[in-house]
Amino acid sequence: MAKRKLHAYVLSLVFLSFLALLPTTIPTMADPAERQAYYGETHVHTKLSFDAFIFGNRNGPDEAYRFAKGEKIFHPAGFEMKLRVPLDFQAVTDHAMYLGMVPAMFDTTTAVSKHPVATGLREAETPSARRLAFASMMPYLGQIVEDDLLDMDIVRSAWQEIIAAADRHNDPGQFTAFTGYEYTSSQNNFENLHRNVVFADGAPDEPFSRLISMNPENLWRWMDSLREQGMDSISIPHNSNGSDGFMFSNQTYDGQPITQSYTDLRMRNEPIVEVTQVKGTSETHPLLSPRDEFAAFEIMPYQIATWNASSLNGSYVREAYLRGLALQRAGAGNPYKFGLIGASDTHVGAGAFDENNYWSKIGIVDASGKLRGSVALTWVERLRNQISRLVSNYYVSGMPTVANTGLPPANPAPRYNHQQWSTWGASGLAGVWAEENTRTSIFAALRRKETFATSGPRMRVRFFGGYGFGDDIFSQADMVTKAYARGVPMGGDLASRGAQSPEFLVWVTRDPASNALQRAQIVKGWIDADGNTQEAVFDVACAGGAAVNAETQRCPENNAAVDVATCATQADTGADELRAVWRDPTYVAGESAAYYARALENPTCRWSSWDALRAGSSPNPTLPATIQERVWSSPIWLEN
Amino acid sequence: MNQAPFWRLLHALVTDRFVWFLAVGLLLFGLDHWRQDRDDYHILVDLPLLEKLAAQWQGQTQRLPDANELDALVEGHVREEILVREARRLSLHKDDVIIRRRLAQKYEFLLADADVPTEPDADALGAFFEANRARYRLPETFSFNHVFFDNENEAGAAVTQLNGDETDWQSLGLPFMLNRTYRKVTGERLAAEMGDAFVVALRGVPEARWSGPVLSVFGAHAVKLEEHNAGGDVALDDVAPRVVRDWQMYQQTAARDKGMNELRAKYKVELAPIDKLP
Repeated sequence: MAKRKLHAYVLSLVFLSFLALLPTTIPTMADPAERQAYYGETHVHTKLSFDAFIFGNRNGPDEAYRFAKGEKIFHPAGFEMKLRVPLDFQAVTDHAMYLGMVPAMFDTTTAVSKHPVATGLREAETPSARRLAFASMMPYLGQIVEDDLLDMDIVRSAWQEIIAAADRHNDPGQFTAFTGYEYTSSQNNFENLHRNVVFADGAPDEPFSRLISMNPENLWRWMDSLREQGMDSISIPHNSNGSDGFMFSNQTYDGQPITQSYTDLRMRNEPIVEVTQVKGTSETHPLLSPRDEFAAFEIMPYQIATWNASSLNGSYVREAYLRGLALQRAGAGNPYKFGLIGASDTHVGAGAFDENNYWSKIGIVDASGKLRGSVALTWVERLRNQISRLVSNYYVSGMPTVANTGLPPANPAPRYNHQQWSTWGASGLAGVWAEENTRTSIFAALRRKETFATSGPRMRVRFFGGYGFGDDIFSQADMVTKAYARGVPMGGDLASRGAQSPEFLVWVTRDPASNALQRAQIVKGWIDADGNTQEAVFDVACAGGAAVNAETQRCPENNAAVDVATCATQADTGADELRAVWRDPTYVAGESAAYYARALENPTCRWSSWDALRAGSSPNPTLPATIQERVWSSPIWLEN
Repeated sequence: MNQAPFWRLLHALVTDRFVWFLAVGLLLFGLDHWRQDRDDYHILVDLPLLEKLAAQWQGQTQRLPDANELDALVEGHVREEILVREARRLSLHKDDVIIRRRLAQKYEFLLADADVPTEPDADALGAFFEANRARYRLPETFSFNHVFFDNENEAGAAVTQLNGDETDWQSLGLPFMLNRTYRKVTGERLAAEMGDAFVVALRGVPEARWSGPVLSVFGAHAVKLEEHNAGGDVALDDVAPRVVRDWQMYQQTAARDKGMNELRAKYKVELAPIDKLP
């Protein structure tokens, strides 16, 4: 009897341990071919960010999620904001709580930055002066932090408010709401190292802020320790364009060489990068990619919150991919093996993604065409501007702050306002390929980098790398299943097959409400036989079914044009869908490379032209009049 | 007899209770001043404070501070405390936009948290649902399978073939970037993905058999409509969890607004005459 009992006990133990194995096997049963594109964004500020509040935003996390779900909410300047199509997922990412005052003070466009304490902080040049200035700020921080601790039990904190709003709006299958925040760090002098931290599910008691450490490596270590406790998160850098070369540096934060352990730490925590947003697009720069005639796209030339030019090297993702390959060859691993998404960085709780329905991002200071520099000023307004500019320049140039933030350059078009936000744009969206619209599924897609970025429109892109896709794969109904079976999707590693040239499958569809597609491209970065990094852009599919010129690797001209007076568009050709299987003609056996897909629409009116058209003004000649909206896939890395 | 007026005055003062009252008051005032002065320049570092600093550190770094770190925390706290007190003496906290903002935010949280019931009873939920019926109206939805072609002829042929025999619909057509099967997709989303014309055409398609070609912005589709729901009113039972969530949110908003209105009623806001706006 006792023996039988023991048997039953052992048997049930065996059975239970099988049960324990089950959950790990279930996810693999999901067919990757069933993955769909979901759109969302992971960079939204609400009134809980101190700087957003100062600019008049009164929308909280609740309003931000309602906006994402398709409801209308109001801009601080009074007009309605509503999405053309609701988003599938969103993370509200306010500056880390009460500490949000720190970035506000560094940002010279804010009122609080005029406070003597804040100017002192910015003006400090030596480490000791910096410490002194920082100490002078402590009363303000102290006041607030202390009160928070005292009142934790009776008053909800902003952080709890954010977690509660995300949990309340998360609706598995319909809408995914993530908890997140912005870690607003920098080097010593406005070199933007900002990152959004997004939690898979749940959230820690307190966010890790720049007051604990300005060094992102410490943020990642904190995320590591949370992960060990079962709470997964990723950090997503943004505005590398304004980092003055520090975001994708060849050194660590402290100026040490990059090692394999740095690479592992970074890649565990930063699988993706926000390549496009309101404050410009960070794919590449015309001076970095002189042979890419489409590189001059939504370039934002300044360091964040200053008038100083941001260094190009180390600030753009295409070059980062090349640097990553070089570091890997040098034995340090590839710390820049990241996928791509877009987001808005709105500070009014509502992203502006459409050129013809644009409200910039800050609030009352960039709410109209005149404020943004897209609509001509009257002579009275110009006179008033000139006077206030002279006065403020006189005042500002007397302060050592100028060494840090610079003075506005001479206005290139005096009939128009010229502000940092004149260089901004209506961008961008994140696309993910996920099985279902849940926290688990979408977070897993972000982690495996099966993601793409758009400059606003809802284009879709599929991108696979592999061998033997077959030229007729596009005529087969189960094409996606075959593509997953024969290759890896965007974000993946493709094992090299020596001399055999890899194949890439590109498939793009348009946004029915935006313009038709002009061309699909593949961008390749690699290291040549001499050890130098190289890049090239290949057109792989053209509108109208035209053939790519084998010499120039370009589609024929399709005479696409925009009448800026009416914003009417015309073109000889335009595609609803572009597709190609492409074999790399430049492949050399044994090389390591990164490939990503890019597709361009035919040009349309840019937001600045829409502003001018509606106001009956002539467009600002120093702003681009048209835009070729585009989509970028995450890369596929060819690994030896 | 010859007492000088001085002594008379002294006598009068000593016997006057009011003078005694003043004297004791002055003494107490002086003592208190001395005590407060002493306290104002006295910072106590005790165990509860250390625990608080350690807990704050742990909350942000996920571990307890070591001895050196705790020393630094205490030193930071002391410096901070000194600066806070000095700043307050200079009234630096007055009219500080950050501090005003934070105080207002905390009070607003308090208002929203005041006595809010967390679970509605059936009557309250029913009344809330009735008052907000429009919000819960169901959108128009479609459920269908479709096969995609880049020309109408092939799509038409596929419709005939699929209605005529047992062909597996999944084996026909071209690959399609979006779903081949849609379940309860809203008309709004479908229009955004496939174009308005596709949704208009779908409304006129019979259910449960293959139809088409139906045109989208991408091409021609053979469509088998399983279900078309025009949307409209919904029963409370079908959306109860959502109504409860909204009701809870509404309670907080209502409590905040009510509290704000009560406070507002205590204040008289006076508008100074203004000739013209600056």
